[in-house]
Amino acid sequence: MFAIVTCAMRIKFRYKLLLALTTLTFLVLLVQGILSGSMVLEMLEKRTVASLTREAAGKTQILSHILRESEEDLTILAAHRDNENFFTFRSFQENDGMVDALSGLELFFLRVHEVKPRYDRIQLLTSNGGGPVLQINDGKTVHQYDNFDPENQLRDLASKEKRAVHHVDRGAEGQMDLLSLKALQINGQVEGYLVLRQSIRELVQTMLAELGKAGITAVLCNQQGVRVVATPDYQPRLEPLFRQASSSGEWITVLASIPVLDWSLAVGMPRSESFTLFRNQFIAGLISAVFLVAVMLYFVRKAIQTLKAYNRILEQQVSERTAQLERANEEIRQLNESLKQENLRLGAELMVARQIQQMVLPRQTELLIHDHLDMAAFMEPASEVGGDYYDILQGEDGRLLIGIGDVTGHGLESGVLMLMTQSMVRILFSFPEIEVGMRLELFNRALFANINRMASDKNLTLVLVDYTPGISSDGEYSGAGAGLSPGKDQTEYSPAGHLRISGQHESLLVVRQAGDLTVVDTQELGFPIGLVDNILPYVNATTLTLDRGDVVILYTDGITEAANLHQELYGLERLCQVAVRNRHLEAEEIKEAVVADVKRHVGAQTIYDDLTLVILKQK
Amino acid sequence: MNRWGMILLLAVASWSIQAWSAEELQWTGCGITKTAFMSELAQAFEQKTGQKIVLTGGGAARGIRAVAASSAHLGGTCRARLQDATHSILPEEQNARLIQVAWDALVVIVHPSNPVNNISLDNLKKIYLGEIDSWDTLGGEAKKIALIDREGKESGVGNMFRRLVFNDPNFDYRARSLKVKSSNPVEQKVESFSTAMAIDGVSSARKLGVKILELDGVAPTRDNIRTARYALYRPLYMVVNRQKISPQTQAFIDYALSDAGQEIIAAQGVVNLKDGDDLAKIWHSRFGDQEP
Repeated sequence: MFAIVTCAMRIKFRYKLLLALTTLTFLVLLVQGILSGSMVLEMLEKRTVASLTREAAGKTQILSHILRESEEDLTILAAHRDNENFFTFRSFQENDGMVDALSGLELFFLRVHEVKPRYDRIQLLTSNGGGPVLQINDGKTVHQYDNFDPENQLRDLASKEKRAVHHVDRGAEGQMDLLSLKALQINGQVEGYLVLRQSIRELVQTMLAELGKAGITAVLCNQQGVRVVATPDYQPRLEPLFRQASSSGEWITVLASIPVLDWSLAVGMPRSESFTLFRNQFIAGLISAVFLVAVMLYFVRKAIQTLKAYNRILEQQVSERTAQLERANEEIRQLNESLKQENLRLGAELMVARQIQQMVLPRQTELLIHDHLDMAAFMEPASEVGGDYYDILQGEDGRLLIGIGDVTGHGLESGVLMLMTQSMVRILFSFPEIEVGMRLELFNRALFANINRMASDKNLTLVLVDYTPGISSDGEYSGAGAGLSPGKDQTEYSPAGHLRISGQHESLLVVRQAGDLTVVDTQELGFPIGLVDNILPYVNATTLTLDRGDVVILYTDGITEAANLHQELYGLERLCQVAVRNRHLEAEEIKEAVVADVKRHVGAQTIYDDLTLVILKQK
Repeated sequence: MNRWGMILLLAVASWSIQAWSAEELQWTGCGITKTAFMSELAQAFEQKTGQKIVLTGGGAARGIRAVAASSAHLGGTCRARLQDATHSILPEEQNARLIQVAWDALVVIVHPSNPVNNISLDNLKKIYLGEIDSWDTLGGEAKKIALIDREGKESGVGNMFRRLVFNDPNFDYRARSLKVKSSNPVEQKVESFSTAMAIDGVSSARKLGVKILELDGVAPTRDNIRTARYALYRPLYMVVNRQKISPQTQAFIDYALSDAGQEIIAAQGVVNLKDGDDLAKIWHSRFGDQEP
């Protein structure tokens, strides 16, 4: 020790300084390295959480879509008039009448199965323990009914005011059947139920296999928290970790819910795995780079040798080859160009369809020129071309036709059907003598034929609202400034506008100036267009009068079903609240208030459906 | 897109051309009038003048509104035009002119096998109020009454039954009923189901395989209707457009009101204007309708 100290003292001062500087530099680098390392760790964690969230949301979206579509199909099934006929005859204990109604329903159920073969069972049940009365299994009527006790589901239906309830039935042989149930209400009383059954086993297994392939551990749990299915690497000991989203332990986990089914999908990855992933990526990148350099060196070396060997010949042929290369280059350039154009064309096809969809919408100026109504409209297409439709057509004497509808699904086909709808409604509007029912029927016939020709399974909801300015007892229009005037008695009352509503779509909201709200249910006013060849028996119309300051709101399900990060829907209730709160504003301002509220709810989430909104306010 | 648009345009255009064909007159509306005498009247008119008349049903509202909107030359209705809360005629019916051509009566129809023959007006009301729901109360079997109802208050039967029986065109029935879209399926269902009951026009019902009940012991015979002994009588109208009426349309109306036309109506068992002369005075003193 003494010897070392003596030696150090002997070292010259300049070496001491160099040593100190080196030590200091090393320490600085060490601190910087530690800091950078923690930043990299944080970034890695965030990336892993984002990636897991994206994967989980994508998968739950698939299941949510299936549930939504099943609810739409149940609504279509419930709209058939023979449902009510059957239960009415049942209340009369008129057997022949029940048989008559059931035979009508049987044909309809078979037709629905033809269009949607994935429903392997379609069943009609009576309430109060009456049991099943009609059942279609794989497109065939059966008389040995499957028992289905809907009591638990029914309690769920009543408690949550849901449109339909879903339940997954798991058999001993690993079946996974989704049962979707809707109550049939007649005069406010539940008299029966409709049940659709479809297998989701394959869908769920594929979903989990895809997650497994991506190195993600996943578990799908039902409403009781019981595991339904999991990736092979999921072990029971992980259960506590997968119960909640966490990024603090040894696992990074994320939860996504399927609200309608009350199921949850938990996905996760060991923290070390995310580093392994990073390390693997790094190593793979390094190996690739080394390999590439080696390959390049090999070819360069080969090329040099070849060049040397053929140098003279090449020199002789250089001019000829140059010309050939130029030609080849030109061909390749042209080929690239045409490929690029083809890609552009395919992309442009969707863009054009979207643009055409936008082009046929009423112009802002058309909405401003009406004497009796203050109007505003909004349509925002989803990332794909959606099938939303709305139009406002003006006729003589202030007469208006407002149409709003929604073609099932998305994409070019839905967009094209929307365009057909716009054209046909415009043509039919130019024949005011065609009565409401026949107008929808003519439209249905044409669209049904087109849909069949296109071999499409799409259909659409459509409500048509005829607006006529009010007419007073002396025959004059009483639109602007009319209504209930102080001092006038009830016999002098003259509404400022009349609405005739027909066709089946979302509910229509009427907010009176005083704040009273009427939700007009259109389920009984029509039938989906393009599903059956004749909808005339289902078409009805209802009328309403408008007074000054009354607001009418029409919308598509993109508004009410806009979901936020937690898959919570915007909902009709919230739309009603915003409408009532802002009823004193002008139509344009009401529109902006609703759209802003929907956007606020959705946040940064992608909107998967078109958003369409039409506001009418009686001047 | 253009192709689809063109196809629909052509379809609608050909429908319109057909509707306005110079060779044919289009008559539409009240199914009861159509079944009662329109086929015979149109046939006789064609034999006399060579003018063909095409008949389509669809109900009284259609009969009035299609003609008011000029999509048919002629219509038939078994109710007057409707009024709103201010007692103004509804806009879609303003342009129609109603011309009475005959008298009809609302009757209670049941399945031919039903043993009940008579019903009182009071019991009829009670059925629609939901206070009677079984045939045994009316002297029949202990079976529920399957009430079949023409949907909507705007229909000829829906409007007139409410006015004549409940004195209120907007009266809401309290009894449960099976709703159907037009008179024809109402009649078909009563013909098919043994416990069924419905309201129909006598002019149409007597041509069908249904049983017509007496009301307070009075059968709806032609004589009982024209003398107002049968209580639920009502006018039947032809409809023309107020603004434009073609010579052919006018010729048919003239024919329907002529002795020859009225004879044809009477020959179908329907009370014509001459037979129902006394009814007109009672009707107007009772209801003061603006029609014809």
